[in-house]
Amino acid sequence: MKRRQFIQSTAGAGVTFAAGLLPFAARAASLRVVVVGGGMAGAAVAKFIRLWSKGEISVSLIEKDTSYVSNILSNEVVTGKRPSIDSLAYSYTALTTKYGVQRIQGTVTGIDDINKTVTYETPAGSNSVLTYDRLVLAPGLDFDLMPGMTSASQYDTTVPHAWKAGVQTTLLRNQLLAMPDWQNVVITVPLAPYRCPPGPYERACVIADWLRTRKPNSKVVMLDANPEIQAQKTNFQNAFNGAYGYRVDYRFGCTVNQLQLVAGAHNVTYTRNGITESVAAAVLNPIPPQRAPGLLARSGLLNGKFAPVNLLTYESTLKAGIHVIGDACISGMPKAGHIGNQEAKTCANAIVNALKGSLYALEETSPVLNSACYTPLTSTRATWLSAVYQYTNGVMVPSTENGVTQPRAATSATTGNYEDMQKWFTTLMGDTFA
Amino acid sequence: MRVVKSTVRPWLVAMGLLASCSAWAVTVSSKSVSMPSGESRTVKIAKVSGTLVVTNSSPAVVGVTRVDASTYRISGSAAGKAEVKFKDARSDVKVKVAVTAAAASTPPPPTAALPTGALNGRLLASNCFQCHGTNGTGGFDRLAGKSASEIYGELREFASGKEDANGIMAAHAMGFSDAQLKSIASYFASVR
Repeated sequence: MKRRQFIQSTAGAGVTFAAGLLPFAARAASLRVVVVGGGMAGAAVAKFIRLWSKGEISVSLIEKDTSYVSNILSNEVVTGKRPSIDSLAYSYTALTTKYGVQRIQGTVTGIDDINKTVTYETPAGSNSVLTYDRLVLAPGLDFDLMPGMTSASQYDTTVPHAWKAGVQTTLLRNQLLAMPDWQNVVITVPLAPYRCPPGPYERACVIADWLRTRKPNSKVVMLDANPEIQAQKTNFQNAFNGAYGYRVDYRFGCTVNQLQLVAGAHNVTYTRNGITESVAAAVLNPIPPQRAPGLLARSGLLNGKFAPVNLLTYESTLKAGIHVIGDACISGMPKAGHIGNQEAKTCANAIVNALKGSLYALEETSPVLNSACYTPLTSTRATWLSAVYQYTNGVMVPSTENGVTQPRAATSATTGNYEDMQKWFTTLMGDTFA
Repeated sequence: MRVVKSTVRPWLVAMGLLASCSAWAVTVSSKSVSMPSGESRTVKIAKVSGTLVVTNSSPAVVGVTRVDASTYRISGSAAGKAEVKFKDARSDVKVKVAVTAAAASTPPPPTAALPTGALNGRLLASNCFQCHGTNGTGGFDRLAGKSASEIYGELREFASGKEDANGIMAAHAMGFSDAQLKSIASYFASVR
């Protein structure tokens, strides 16, 4: 977390005991929550409000796409380990049929926090308005243009970031297949915070592992804006240095100045230690800087790039009645799907408790958030990273219980971890969508 | 996942900020209370710095509810002893509670005093759902319906490093307090 964000979130949370959510039992009969965004956080919050309120709160989920495509494991599509991106698509059917979530396809265009309404545009192009008692925003992220780019459509056609899984993931796969040998694959990493801290390094590893047999004279070059590897440093360093039979040319502290886009022969100019250099890229995978979507900026919900929230309830510290969960909020924790799922449960629990008018039970005055993520380093071996965060003085901090430092990581990449990764993924997606 | 590597640890900064504006510790009106089962007593607290965390060592013996910002009600639900801890940014204070058997004429304990069982541990236990299925019904190991003592016993083995100390379950269990592990175990034992 940036220090500036931290001070703001602390100031916002100084009051905190049971703050923010007043019982709305008087209006219980017609209580309605509107959820915007059907990703890991949005789907989970819709499910758990319905489940934990025993159906007493009506939930409408507005999402523009017909299904969610998982970012987690999408690097398996890049390397061909998974035959297609379709295996990572999750529908909203179970949320609707099993939990009674009202599913609305549309794009939210405006929020009125005084009258408590959201306006959305349907796929047919007409505008509709929904009223809410509580609004939960789980909008994911927007991607900035990299220097030298003129349009976001270039990500779809020429230089896929593939940091939101979908057509760009498949494009990156196809570009790797079409690339001749003796070339560079260049991946750029933005300054933290960005979605999935280990993700860029994982991608570098699995592509380098794939090149090892398919294009043995090609290499992966990583231009990292950060001063060091952002997660699982030891495991990635070992991998980059040949522990699994491939190498990655890792360069840290790189500020990208310019992308020159020429299909199959891009060039990246960057500055490192005051020296400007450039590198050729047959395949260029720029992972751009990220921010909460423009809707949140227009609605006055942001402090800098992301939304400050009360971490007991995920209610915005800037606008009452609006909660922000997942990658768009400032939680001090990694922006990741498993964590978005648990932020959603914390938010759902607070909203349901407020409806019931119940008092906070002991854990709910000090929520714990438990994160796990598995990371493939080859097509058959994976590591994991686990962190437990305890709510302390308004912020989520790595736990120090039992005298143990968090987070903790696997000591090496193993085939057993790879199998566990698949089970973790299946269960996590089931907990979120089924 | 990003690791906090800064030498300025955020929580230390937070404690420093709070300390600088309120140099006092939690006080309670009484450090020990006793009551027959079915009755309750209130405890007044003051001088809280930052967030107050209330823990109850024996949820089977007493329930604790917040009446208002400075008042907590401790209700006896079964004969026994318990300890209720009030912990804030600077200190913690323990209140010893003794609950005696109910007098013959005492009405049954109020059911509305504390949302018990499932609601209590629900959020904490939901941290396990991502790998063990919603409500502990699948995934790596089924947890729903196991006894609380079995689940707690396994979690203690992991938390103490006696079992698979470098494994992912040890990494998880080590991050929770003992009271939190007990609450998780009770929740899954209550799921049917």
